[in-house]
Amino acid sequence: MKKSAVGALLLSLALVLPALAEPDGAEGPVFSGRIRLFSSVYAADNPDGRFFSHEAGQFAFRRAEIRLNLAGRVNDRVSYGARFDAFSYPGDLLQSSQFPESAFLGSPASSEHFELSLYEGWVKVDDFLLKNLDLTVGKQRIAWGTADKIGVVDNLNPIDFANFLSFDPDYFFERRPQTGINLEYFPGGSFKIQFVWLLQNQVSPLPYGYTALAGKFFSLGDVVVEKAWDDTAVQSAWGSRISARVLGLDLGASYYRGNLSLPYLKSYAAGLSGSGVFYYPKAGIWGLDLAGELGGVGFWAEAAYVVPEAVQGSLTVPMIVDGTAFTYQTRFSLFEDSYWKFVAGADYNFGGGVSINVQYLHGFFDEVDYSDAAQAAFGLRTGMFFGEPEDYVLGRLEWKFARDTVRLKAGGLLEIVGGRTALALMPEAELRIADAFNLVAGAFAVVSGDRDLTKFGAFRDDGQVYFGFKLDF
Amino acid sequence: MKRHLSILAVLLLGLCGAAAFGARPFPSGSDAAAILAAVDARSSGSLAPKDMQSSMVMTIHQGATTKVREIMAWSRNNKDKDDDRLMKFLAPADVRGVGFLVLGGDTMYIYLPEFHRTRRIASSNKKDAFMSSDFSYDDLGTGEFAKSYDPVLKEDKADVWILELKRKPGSDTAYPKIIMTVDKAKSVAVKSELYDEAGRLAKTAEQTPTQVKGYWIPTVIKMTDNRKNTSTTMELKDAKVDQGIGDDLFTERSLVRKVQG
Repeated sequence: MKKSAVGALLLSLALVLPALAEPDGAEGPVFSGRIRLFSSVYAADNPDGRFFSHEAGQFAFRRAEIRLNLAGRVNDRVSYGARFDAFSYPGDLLQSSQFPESAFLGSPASSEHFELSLYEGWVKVDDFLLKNLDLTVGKQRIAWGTADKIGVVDNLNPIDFANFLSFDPDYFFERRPQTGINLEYFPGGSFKIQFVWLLQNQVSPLPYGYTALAGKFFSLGDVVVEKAWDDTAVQSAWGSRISARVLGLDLGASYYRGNLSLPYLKSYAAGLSGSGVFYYPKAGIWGLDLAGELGGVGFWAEAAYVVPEAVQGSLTVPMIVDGTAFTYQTRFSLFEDSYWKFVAGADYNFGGGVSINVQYLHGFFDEVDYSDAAQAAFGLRTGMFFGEPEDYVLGRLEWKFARDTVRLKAGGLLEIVGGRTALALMPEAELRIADAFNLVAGAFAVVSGDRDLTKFGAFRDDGQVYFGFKLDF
Repeated sequence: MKRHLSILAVLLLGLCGAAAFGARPFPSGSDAAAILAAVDARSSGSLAPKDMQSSMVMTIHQGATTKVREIMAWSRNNKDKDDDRLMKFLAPADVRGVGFLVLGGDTMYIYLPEFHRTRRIASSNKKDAFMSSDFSYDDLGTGEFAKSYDPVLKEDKADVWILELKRKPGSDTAYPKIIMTVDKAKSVAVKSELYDEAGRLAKTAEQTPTQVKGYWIPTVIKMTDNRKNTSTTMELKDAKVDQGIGDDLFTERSLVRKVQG
């Protein structure tokens, strides 16, 4: 972190200190947490899979997870919270070791794949400097937009792409907290003005073996991911949003300035084994969002108008003409000047524990609108990861019964690419054994779709069944 | 404005008699409409507390199984619409910190602390059971009975009146018929038998009121599901009334703030 960012953080803390000195209203800290186990097993053989190679019955993913939260109040105005996540991957031996060999005598540590992370840690001051001005500093999950999980205007919390490909439903479309300064001003009624300044650029966690995956996406032998920003305060990301309830509708308008959180192909050099340079594009993103209800039907919508920073892409091809070898290079605008992403959804509760939720999405989190020249040069299209924006319909029918001890879900995702479709089904059953203790079993199965020309069709032979438990304390 | 059955007009803000107010606004004789108007006045009308803060313990009985839920609640009486309510779930652990904000009955928000996220939820969700109990969210609605039901006096006993309430045409309340037992001394409903569309007895709500600052507050409410043979007892503790709770409590800001830390 550069000096300017550190200075900003220290300045914020200095401003917070007077509020910390107020004596009344101290509470906590209160400790809580979660223990969770998740295991998935492949349902079919796929020895030559595009993304995953496996046999039927082989474990796809195993994870034991312990979450520890603490929260409290220093006084009436100042509160704090932190969450630590610990993950262990049973059966997953260290990748760098041939055998599960301990680093030290008597220590199992290096023979178990274990991770500990600070998921969030923040301090919040109510009525900071001004009445109705709240300040939150630290690593935090920032609420942004009105969509139900699958949003397009929230670019402040990068998508967790690593967990997306684990198909763990608790982490599907999950977003990560970021370290920053969050100011929220409530002038009156439902009106709210928010400004967020992040102390770093946005980086999504990428799945293990991403470089190899990217090579497979684009048939590259060599993949370079370039950090295309100066790590300065001026270059870091920020966003602002205003919102209010008008005529029963929750309305919001926002602007985000920063980088996209996934790396995109910028230049391609052909050769015996092609090589590609990926980078994190900067963009300005205008957002509109709303939520409301009509006749008991809840609805919401978000639209993002993305204006990528103008950048030149390149294609380099070695050529031989009349026996003379030379290199041909062409350069082009990488992205369209601007493009839209949007989502609209609705939900309804029929009573008797039965409810439905449907969403229409244009532009998956990884999709961007490359220029025609870039599409031609890189072989980009719809129906692929990091390709052109396409359309999706996501739905979930849910039935809770036996006093909410049993919950059955029939979830699905329909990918629509021109005249082609791919359909993924995500059924799940959850049994509440006792308060705060749940067993869950389900499946992720792509039942239709072209394996090469649709994004989810590529997973047709990677169907999985999963089971797990979750205990909150 | 959508109206809901005020079983818990008799509940969160409700059941609030005006014994300490000196005058006896009790109806006399067999005027069913006047009796119901008096019940409405004490539960959600002019003689109800302006606001209330309380902690609730819900005990759900199902066979040999007992489950406990704990909630902190704030409510404010609105003259011409349902109450504004803010709830903070304290237990069990998997819902700890979840917040629920209801503005005038139909505008509802839920706060999910895991994601620091406030989400608008549709009013159709009120058909569901409230925290897996025998109360539905609809049962928790607060509105005047007289706007949704036509009353008929069925019995005039020594201590109580028995009213039969029939749903008015066009009303969207959950129960088409209610047999309500009204305490004459307090002018509050102490028992309500709720019938479903098929004419079967669906639920029975029984309340035990206690006086707080002159209002009759239902400190114990038992809701029995007669079809499932289950029941839930809700006990109100530390009820505080007329504290001058302002508009700023019933906002999204407060929903987040009240459930943090």
